[in-house]
Amino acid sequence: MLLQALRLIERGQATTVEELAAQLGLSPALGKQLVADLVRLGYLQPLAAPCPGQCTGCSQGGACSLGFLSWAITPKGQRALNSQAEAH
Amino acid sequence: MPERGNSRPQASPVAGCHGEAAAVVRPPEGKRLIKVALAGQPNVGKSTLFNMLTGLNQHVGNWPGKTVEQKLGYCSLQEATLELVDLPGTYSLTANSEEERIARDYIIKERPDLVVLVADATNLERNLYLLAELLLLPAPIILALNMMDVAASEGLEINLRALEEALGVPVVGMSAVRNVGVRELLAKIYELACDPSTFRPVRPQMRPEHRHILAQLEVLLGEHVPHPYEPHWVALKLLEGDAEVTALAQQWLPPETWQQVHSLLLRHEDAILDIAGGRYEWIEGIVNRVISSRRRSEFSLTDRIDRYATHPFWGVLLLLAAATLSFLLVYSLGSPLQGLLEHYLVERLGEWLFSALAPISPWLAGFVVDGVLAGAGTMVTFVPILAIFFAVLGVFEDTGYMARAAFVMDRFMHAIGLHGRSFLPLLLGFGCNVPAVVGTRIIDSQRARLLSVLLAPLVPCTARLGVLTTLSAAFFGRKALVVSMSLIGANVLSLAALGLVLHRFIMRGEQLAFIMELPLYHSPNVRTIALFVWHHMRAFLVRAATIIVAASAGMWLLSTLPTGEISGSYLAAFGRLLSPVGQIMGFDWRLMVALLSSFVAKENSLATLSVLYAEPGQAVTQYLPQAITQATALAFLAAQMLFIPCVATVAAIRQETRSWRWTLADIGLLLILAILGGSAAYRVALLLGLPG
Repeated sequence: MLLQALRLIERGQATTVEELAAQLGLSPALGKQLVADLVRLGYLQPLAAPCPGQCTGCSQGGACSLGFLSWAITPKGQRALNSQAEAH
Repeated sequence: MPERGNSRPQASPVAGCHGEAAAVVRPPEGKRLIKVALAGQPNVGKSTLFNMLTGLNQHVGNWPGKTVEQKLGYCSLQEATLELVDLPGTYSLTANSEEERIARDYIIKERPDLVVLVADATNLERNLYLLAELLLLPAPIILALNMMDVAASEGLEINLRALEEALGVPVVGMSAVRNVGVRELLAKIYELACDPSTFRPVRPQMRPEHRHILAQLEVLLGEHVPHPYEPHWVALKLLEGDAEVTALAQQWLPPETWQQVHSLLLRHEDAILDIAGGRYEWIEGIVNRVISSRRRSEFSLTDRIDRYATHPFWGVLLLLAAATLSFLLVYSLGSPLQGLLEHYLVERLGEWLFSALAPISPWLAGFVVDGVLAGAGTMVTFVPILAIFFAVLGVFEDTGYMARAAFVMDRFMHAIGLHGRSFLPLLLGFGCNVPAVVGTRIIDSQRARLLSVLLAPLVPCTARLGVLTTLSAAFFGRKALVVSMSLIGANVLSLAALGLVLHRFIMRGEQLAFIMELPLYHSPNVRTIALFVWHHMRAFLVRAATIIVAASAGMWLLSTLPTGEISGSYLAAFGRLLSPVGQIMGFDWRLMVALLSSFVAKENSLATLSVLYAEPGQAVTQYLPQAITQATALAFLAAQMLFIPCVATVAAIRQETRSWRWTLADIGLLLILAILGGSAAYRVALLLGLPG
């Protein structure tokens, strides 16, 4: 199921955790857990978007967060997808 | 009908617990002591149950050497005494946090007689995930399914008997806050503690093709794994890449055995995908068997709103509507308030200050009124417009809509073929260009990254949007909404066009597969939004009181020295050097100076315009539209949106490219774009019949 989740993310068929959970037949809460597992196991990495230090020089610097978390497939995740594709 | 574990009283050797406990925190003598660990996720009612069972007979301290709270208590039954330990609330047992390490170490090392997993019946799936991990540890488990009443009220029907059969684990349905099902739980604890051999759980299964890997690992670990650890669990954790267990295994194993383990792990690093995936399949299978009817509100409010808010077509339309409404609100409420502040703060105060200072020194009166007050004071009059602007942004962010706006933008960009690694950092630029530049670090290709860094300043940041909002209100009155939306649209389209070129020719279709978590919608919190507005307005006012006061004073001095007349000033001499370029966009030298001054801070252009165009006895919203035609104003705003970013962003570009050459090239490129954009806007405005 985790590989299936990675495949859905790779193909852009699931761009939110909710979409991913729905496609896998899981509850949204379990979908979050699945993404957390993929991150913990090194197949997804957070796309960090912190306010860098330079923002303190800007009067609107605090507005740099758009209010969502996002993760991308890691090279390890891509390798797993590639080896599965080769196996088939 | 669902089986309700709490519906029928059960004959048991247990008469009750709370109230019969001794008043001191120590195990009563003469009875069997049963060690029970209470595990569970946060907010599932674990502490409620613990308090109910132990009453006053509990001790609260810290786990040894940790800052996490430890609660220990006793509960006296007829034939035994329970020693209850309230483990920290955790979602899993992966040792990712101190709480998770404490919970799993306690069960492994202290070996309680049994573990009670307190679970939330309304969120069975995620609680079963924790159960799947607990089942790997050496302790019998009882599943206490709490909040059954809440689940029933939500239309969720759980067949407890089927759940018990599917798990092979005793299950008790309960509602701890109503003291329902507690007796049944105590009875099950006593039964299982008396005869642990009846505990035969159905654990998640591993696919046959990976069982031999686990078996090989267990053989290699063999007798090297010390008590209380078990080779099977250690082998599983090694496959998962658990850092703590890996470090322990390295200590336990001889170097040559560790090498064998290590190479086995490397060869089968993806086996864990199947092992962990098996847990989800196990959960899915159980849930399908035991939940006979789904919630009445299968689609939550968030789901229902998101059907439209994140829809490829309706979502874009909703975003456009939200943006239009926001600007309407800003202009309809903010502009009248700005007029009032202008009248009382700048005009009246200016008159009073001039009459007070002029007798002392006409030069000083000019400096204070036409320099400082006209510049920084005018900035302050824009506070209502900006405050409403940030309040709207705050509402979007606090309700969770901001994340949907980003999501819809992603869909829109995807529709036009731009969905590369460059998109996400550029999206961040709508907040501030600095994180957009720094965020390009996620791009692997150096060439693509460089181009993304160079493009990032084209994203209209909130500071630029603030300037656009205030100046378009001053120049275009009721048409300000159309002007603002058009200029933002033009910026986004020019960015999309450049991004498309970047994607097609530089990144050659390289995709960044990513997933995002959208927050749940919720009602806006007034305090949160007030703090959001306050944070931004304080920063704006601090800047107005420092940099902009200094810049305004400097501009006034340069515009009066050495002759006392603006036309013969140093600033005019410098500005006239730029006039040939300005003329392309319909600018006079003063507009060129105002545009240049925004390099220090975007808001500076507002202050500079106020100083250079100031007319005695007139408000900024009067003298600016008189001095600058609408065609020129449109050109100025278009150029401002494309102009060199603020100094902080330029510093970030230098830092990320590590090259002054590229930084200067970007400045040059943006200058050319600003001139071309300003010129095009001027021509279009004339064609549309705006006064030129």
